[in-house]
Amino acid sequence: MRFQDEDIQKLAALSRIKLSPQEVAKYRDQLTSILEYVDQIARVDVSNETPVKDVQGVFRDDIKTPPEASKEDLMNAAPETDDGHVSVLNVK
Amino acid sequence: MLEWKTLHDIREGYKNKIYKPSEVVGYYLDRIEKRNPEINAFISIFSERALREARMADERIEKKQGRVLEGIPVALKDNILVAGEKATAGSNILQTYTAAYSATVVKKLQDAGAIILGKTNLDEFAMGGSTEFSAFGPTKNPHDITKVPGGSSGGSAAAVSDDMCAVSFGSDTGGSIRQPASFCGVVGFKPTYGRVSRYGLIAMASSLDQIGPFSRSVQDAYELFALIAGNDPYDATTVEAPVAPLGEIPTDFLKGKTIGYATSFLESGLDEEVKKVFVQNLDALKTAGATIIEIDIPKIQLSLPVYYLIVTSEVSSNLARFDGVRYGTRSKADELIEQYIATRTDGFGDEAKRRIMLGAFTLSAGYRDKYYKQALKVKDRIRTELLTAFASIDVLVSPTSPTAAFDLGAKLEDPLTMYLSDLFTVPANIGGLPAISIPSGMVRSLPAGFQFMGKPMDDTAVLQFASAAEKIFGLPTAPSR
Repeated sequence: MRFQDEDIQKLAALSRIKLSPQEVAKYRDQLTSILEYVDQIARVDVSNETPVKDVQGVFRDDIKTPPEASKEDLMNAAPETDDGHVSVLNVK
Repeated sequence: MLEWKTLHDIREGYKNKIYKPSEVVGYYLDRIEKRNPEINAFISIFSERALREARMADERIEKKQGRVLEGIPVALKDNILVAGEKATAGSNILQTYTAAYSATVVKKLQDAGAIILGKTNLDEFAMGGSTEFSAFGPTKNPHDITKVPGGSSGGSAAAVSDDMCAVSFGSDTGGSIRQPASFCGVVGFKPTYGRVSRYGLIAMASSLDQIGPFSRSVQDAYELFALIAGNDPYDATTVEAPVAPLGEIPTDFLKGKTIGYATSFLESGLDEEVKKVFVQNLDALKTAGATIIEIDIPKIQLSLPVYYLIVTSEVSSNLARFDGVRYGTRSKADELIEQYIATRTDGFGDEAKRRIMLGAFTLSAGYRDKYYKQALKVKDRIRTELLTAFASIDVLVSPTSPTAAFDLGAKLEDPLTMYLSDLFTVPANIGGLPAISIPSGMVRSLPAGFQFMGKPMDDTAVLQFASAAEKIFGLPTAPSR
């Protein structure tokens, strides 16, 4: 399939990214050519595919471990904080 | 006196009191100061911290209390967290981020006495094959500064190649250790998926990412790998399995061994000169006693398309957390959603945006089954074919990359061509296999790399083959310029 400008704008919106008209055109062509290339996997018949068996779930015991980082350290990573909280703008 | 040492050499020097950690750290910091402005291998340099730790290492060695990597300087790709230090992942969005905790790999290295010299340049979030997609400018190839060092761990490869350190660490999702190792003429090893903890590695594609070493000898790569390997409760994909010893590699090691190469690999897109070196390498291995066979792995060619579908899907999900709320930079806006958009638009570079959007597409309703789920099934099929192939061969080999290092800027506007640079390295990630690149010759004055891939969990066997081959192809050498 060929991406249209509207497709790229929709993907950008889903990705929370804003694009200029030039970028829309660039990504439209680039993503189309990448998609054409990866599309070759669609032709593989995998109807009989059984999952590889050596994959298994791993569980650990439910025990409390000491924290790796302090609350302060983690809060310090946030761009804006206020009295022990991460501060954000209002949702309009 | 300190030029081009291996980890092994440095430790022998400490033991025999020829030099001490503060001198070695001093040597590398001088090299970095002198060479980094041109090569741009390092994003941050821990001069004071490294010298302070080096003096402590001097004392420990003096008192014969040295640990296994006491006073050994290492460099880390800047997507591996060190508590209290910046970790940018090569992205503007993390330009101001300071890690609150250390990666498991870092803790193991520090517990062993290693000294971190600094953090190295990479393609943004480890996405790219040239280190040109870094927000901190491209790294240059020490063999020819008009060429790329490969990527995404280009800084770690160039740092070893340019003698700014003897060993370093990178991460490999589709070839990001092996391809730059090949381009820069050093050893680069990607362990079996699940061998090394990813805790504290900034995630790109979690089902494929794996940390591994760069070095100047296979022995060094083995030693660093064995140190960082092991089960970690903080990474549920790690396995508990001892690493088999490398042992002494006898001179007739290759006698009776079977080495396979995929016929399809030599058919398309391979540079003629690279092919010539590869064929010479095969002949040399044959002369040393190995049986070389062509092997048909029909679906191996699909590794790259499968890879880009899985990677973009995981990237779009993993990078959703960067919204300017909990960490990183935040762009100004009047309203929350607009702030997310402004932060991500300003913070992410070209390749990140491309992959995030493609991943949003491959995971979207109506296309998820066709692309993402189909890719997972084909991935299983490729893995089955690879495992079947190992019934008749000991190791699978290939050139590490279809070309030698290319010109800076050559592939920036053509992402698909850039992706093809990973053609031979991606199958090991798709199959979860251990794989190594070692220098194997020169192509138009640039290094070429030879790749060994082995059965999952058979990391030591891959390293043994590489060690035997290294004696035949010759050890890595400093760039001649």
